[in-house]
Amino acid sequence: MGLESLIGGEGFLTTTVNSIVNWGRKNALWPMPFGTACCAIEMMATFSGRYDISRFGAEVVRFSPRQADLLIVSGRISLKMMPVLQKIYRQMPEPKWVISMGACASCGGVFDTYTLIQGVDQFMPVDVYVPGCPPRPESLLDALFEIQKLVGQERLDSGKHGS
Amino acid sequence: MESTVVDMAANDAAYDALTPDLQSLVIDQTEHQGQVALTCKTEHQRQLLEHFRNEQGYDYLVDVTAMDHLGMDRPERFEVVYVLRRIGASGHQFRLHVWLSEDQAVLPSVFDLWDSARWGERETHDMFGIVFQGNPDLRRLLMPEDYPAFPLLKDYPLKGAGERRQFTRVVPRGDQMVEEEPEDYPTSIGRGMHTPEYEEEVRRDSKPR
Repeated sequence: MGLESLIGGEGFLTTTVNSIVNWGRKNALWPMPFGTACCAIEMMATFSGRYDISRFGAEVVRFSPRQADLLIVSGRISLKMMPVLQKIYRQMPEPKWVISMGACASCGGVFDTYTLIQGVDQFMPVDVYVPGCPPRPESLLDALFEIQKLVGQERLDSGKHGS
Repeated sequence: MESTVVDMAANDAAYDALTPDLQSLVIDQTEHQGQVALTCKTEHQRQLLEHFRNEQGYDYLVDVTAMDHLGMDRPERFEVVYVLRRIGASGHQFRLHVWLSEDQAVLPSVFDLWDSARWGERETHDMFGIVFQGNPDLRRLLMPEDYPAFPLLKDYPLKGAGERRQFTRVVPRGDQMVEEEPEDYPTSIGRGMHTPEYEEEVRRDSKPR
């Protein structure tokens, strides 16, 4: 069963540092929820029992950006909130990834007004967008898988990991 | 138990209880679906409100708000609205409308009569730029503190004057976070809406097939 059967009787395996680090990272993402609207309700549903994001190793929700490596922006971001979001993004240690969840975070949604940011991707990098208003938990799980694919492609000597 | 139901039948009571010289300050009196609105000029606002508070016992200022009648055929540009209510057995409510000119968009504050005026006046100032003289705290309430405009004015564009594009882009480069000019991605409805490509797409998609 499980990993032991792959390792075999000898108790060791050969791999690259890159692969094993990526394998560890992508199966233990620590999300920082930035929920400002109804998308956050779907995000909470994704975290809780019925959809259970912990099946994919991302259940350690951190409300401190210093301990997180995945920022989930779920909801409308207003003029007043954008500096806060940027500050939180700055506080996250490298490497870090960002999910822009729902129409409002991705493009302003139906709120094309003076006070609403028309897509957080203008002012910070976004790795995966989730369409929907709000997206269902399955969509957010799918976004997590996309993030896991991205994490799997990381190279340790790339700029993402700092020096 | 005392009833707090709004007594619609007694809606004219506020006007009827005014003394004749105060009644002469009310320049208009309308009723729509049981809601009475009295109108007065800027200079009589304080006098009437003091009377309603102290003599008639309107102990609850439900809201202070305003309307911008720019470009409409009205006596003045702004109309400030006070919603007054009397809590208790004789409870009923009505509105006092005050015309306010664009050049002199200043009214005396009534925060000393009702504490709730502090917030209502602050929000009205935030949205319309109307100054309530004497209010100790007219800081921005809903908008950012450095916001340059009053967004509910009719001559202010719905999508703003570029304020929502004012941020720099925060990007990680190596072990540092650097700030760059914002990037324009075509993902946004708001930003992509009026490009020639989008117009062409709409034209193409709206043709019958």
